[in-house]
Amino acid sequence: MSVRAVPTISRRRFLALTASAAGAGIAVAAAGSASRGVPAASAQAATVAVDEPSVLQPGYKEQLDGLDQAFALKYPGSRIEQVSPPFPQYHQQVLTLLQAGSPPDVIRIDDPQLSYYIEQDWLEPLDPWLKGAGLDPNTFINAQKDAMRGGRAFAVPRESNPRVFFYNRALYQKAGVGVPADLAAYREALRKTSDPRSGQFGMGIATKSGDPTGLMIQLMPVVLGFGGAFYDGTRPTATDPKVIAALRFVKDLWDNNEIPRGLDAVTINNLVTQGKVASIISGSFVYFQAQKANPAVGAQLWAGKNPLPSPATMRATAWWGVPKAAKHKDLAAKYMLLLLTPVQQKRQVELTGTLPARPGMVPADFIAKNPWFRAVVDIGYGGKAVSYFPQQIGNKGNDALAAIGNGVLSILYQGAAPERAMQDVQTKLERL
Amino acid sequence: MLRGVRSDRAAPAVFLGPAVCTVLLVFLLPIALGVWTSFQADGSTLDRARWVGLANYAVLFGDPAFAHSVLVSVVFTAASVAGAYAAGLIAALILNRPFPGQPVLSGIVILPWAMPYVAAAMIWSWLFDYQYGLFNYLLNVMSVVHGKVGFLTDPHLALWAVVTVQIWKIFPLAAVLLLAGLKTIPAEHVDAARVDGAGGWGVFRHVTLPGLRPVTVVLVLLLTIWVFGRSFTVIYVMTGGGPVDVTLNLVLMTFQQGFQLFHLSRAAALGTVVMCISAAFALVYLRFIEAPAV
Repeated sequence: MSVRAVPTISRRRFLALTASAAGAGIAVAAAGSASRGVPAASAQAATVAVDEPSVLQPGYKEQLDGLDQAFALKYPGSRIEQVSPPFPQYHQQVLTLLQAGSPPDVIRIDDPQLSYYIEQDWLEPLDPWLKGAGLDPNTFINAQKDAMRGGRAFAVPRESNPRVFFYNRALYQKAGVGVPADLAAYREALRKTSDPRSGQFGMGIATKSGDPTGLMIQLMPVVLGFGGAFYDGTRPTATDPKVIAALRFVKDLWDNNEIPRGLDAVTINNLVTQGKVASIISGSFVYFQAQKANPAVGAQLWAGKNPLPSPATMRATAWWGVPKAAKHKDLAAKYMLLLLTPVQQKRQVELTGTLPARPGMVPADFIAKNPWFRAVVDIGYGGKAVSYFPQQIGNKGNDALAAIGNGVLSILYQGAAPERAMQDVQTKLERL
Repeated sequence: MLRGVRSDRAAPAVFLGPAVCTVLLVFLLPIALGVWTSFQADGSTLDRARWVGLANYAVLFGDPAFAHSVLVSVVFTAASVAGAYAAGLIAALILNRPFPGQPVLSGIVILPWAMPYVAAAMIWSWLFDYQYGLFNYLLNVMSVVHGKVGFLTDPHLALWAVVTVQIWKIFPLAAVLLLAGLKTIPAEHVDAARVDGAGGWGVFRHVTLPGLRPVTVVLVLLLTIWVFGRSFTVIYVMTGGGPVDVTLNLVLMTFQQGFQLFHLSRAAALGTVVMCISAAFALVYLRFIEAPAV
């Protein structure tokens, strides 16, 4: 009977093998890490990481899928990888990656992030690529100027959303009111179209606490509509009587349950789609969301002339930028240039209903189908809309937003007098 | 022989090495980087450091919002831990007796613990909602109130609303641990107390509660560490720290400073403060569990 020899290994040999394996692992990891720090040659094929959370939304997904395919066709061997998390986590993730020095190749930047990223010197100036493509950023939509520093473009608008007055025609007819032409008529319409017991409100404004950006996006169209602003250039003007009048208006709606309490912007938009909000001053995406999600209500949603006293309105903009630490800057910039081509700009309008960076790109048949969109175009390219974010004070804008947001919330939630609350806000803004 | 001794000494290092490296890389290194960041100016990176000493801590301690958020954290933690302990104890006492359906009820009690935090917080947000909330509907149907209650919009109620949800979420842990503690109390002690004339309350006060003391200390310390240092999701989803900062605890303030206001270094300083406070609780906990049983 033969006994099969059991393979043995000496302790010393085992230790040597383990150490070798560990060393090899560390070497491989280090090599991988080192290669990540070296930018790929500009002409090399590569996978370009794009961080754009709107890819998770209907319409936007189709638009970006088409853009990604066009990129793969134009740059054979290269491809786009959409790497974004859902929007609520998006900005935290990108900020962390930028801070860590390992960002994706293309990032979306919204109004509150723009100045900070530029000030931190995290964004690559895009002028060489724009110039190479024969594009002058000074001819882009008026939001472009927010991304310019010293004549250089640090980002290009991915989309811009000037605010428009939308109303639900069926709810207005049911309440027996016409399209309001002025503030008094609008106030009357708000009263008559509100029925808190059935969960119906005359106007939608997001007032969820703890979200100063969301609050400002919904509040600023009203403040601007009253002719007010929290800043005149870099000078705080929170105590401006027009600001106070706008806040009194909102507080009055709050007290009379004519706006929902404590809901966020997403929920407000959903209420519009469900026919529970009779009017809203918002971006055109609200209209298209309703068209897609609830065609019955979408058919009743109309855009009209803003009934607030001032024609001034607000825009919210999203940009695309290429981080300085991106691995494939050249290809990333070329991907953005592809977005700026007429074909892709027109697709953007048709699929997302948002304004693209370049003027003259809104298809005529789109305007024919949506005549009200002409007003959006005029506002967007005519310089009438201003950002809800005080870009002129740089990154202090986020502290300003928090101070203003808390001041407004103290009026709504604690019943603070608007004059007193805005005096406190003014003091805080002056100290920034 | 000498070679064997060397190998014996090296073996623990080889076997422990991967674990030690992992702890260093994913635990101690991030903590060190966080503390390092708290001494840098905003926007600093490892290759672009701007040392500012204790400036971030000075700004923090001079900000009235910091003192307020410490107070919110203490109240939130104390109320949540006390509430979870009380609810857990009641559940454990009920589940400690055999009755039909006891196993089913045990499973139901565990459910809140098993439910994801975000989902739970969103469901509770809608239950508490001012316009469409079930609680407001029921209160009106039963004529308990006329009009709406701003559970999450009234500054006097919002903190207690989020405390309620936090208690609901963590009380199953208390119930399970206390139930295990109840099982260790010898039946002879209860019998002896009854022979001595103790009623239900007397047994509970003089036998059950003292018998649960070791579990109670461990449980309270664990819950305190978790609630104080990790209470983010419920508050973030339900109130975002509002209205007007009444639910803004230290953890949420850290998030706000870092990701909403872009003061990453100040956020790192806040994180360091929270870590130190949590570490103090953890030390007490470790002391207790390492102390020899009396």
